[in-house]
Amino acid sequence: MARDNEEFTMIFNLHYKGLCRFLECLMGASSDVARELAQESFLRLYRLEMDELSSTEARFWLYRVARNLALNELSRRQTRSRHSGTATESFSLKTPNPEETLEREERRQIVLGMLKSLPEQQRAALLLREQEEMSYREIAHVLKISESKVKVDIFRARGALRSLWNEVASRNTN
Amino acid sequence: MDCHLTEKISLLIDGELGEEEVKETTAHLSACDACQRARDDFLLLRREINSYASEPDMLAQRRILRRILVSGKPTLWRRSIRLPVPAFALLLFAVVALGAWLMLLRQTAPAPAEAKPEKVLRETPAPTQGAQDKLDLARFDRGERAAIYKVRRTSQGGVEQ
Repeated sequence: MARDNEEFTMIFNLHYKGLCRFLECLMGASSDVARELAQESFLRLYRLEMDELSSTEARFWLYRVARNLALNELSRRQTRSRHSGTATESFSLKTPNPEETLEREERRQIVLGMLKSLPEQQRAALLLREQEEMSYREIAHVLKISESKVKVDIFRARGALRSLWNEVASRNTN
Repeated sequence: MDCHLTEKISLLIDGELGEEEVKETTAHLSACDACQRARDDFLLLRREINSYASEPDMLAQRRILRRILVSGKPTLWRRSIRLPVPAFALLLFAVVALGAWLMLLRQTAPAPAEAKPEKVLRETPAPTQGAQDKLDLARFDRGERAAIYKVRRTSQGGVEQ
């Protein structure tokens, strides 16, 4: 039986925004695609025939499915970009001040660019830790890897980002 | 230059260390410049990653929710049955075993008896006057399974057939 509408609405409102952000960072921008994938993940959750899935478990399930969908989409886009070059990404920011928008956009691009340079599994683990504040055990559950692998991945991701960040900072000061 | 305990700093800021390790790492942190720098950088990166905000349109969000709720429920015919692999394997084995058993049963069972030609009932002659005092059982004997003997006890106690 599909889950109750009320319970589903609660889960949707609780996790939709976070899932969109996770997907955007994981895929390196494209908020439209991230929204589409988030919608697909929620649709699958709604159709899921597992009433015993708690809302916490539903959250882990959502992130796991969203990540798998994102990986499929990334590999499809890689194939496409080989033929048609890179596509420009757009963001739907609604900040009235254009200067602020520009600065924010620049910062977003730096963060995204740095995250994009990481191996996918390190990126996913770090995003779940920093944005979703999941514990190592929860991250291991979502990504279906061991806790020790999560520990190593997060540390390596931080190390790589730290080097990149310092590189960007020293370039800007020069 | 990094300290060999930098990994512990990563675990410390994630709250993944035990009580004892927290004490040790904190003590080390207060004395190690490299680890202090690492902690500051890790926390700065955390802020930067967290500052990345996705701002989905609230109207679009509501529209998506409505779309899911309207179109989401699958019809009975489109629903799938989820069966754990061991249960499926067991079910498959049971079906195969049942099939094999039925085949074996069919092979070992005796072939159905051939249809026997209908027996013509022997016309039983009407009992004669002399045989009226005896019971003529021949009329009941249709020559199938048993032979019926007529037995008559004599007055001397003997048996006359």
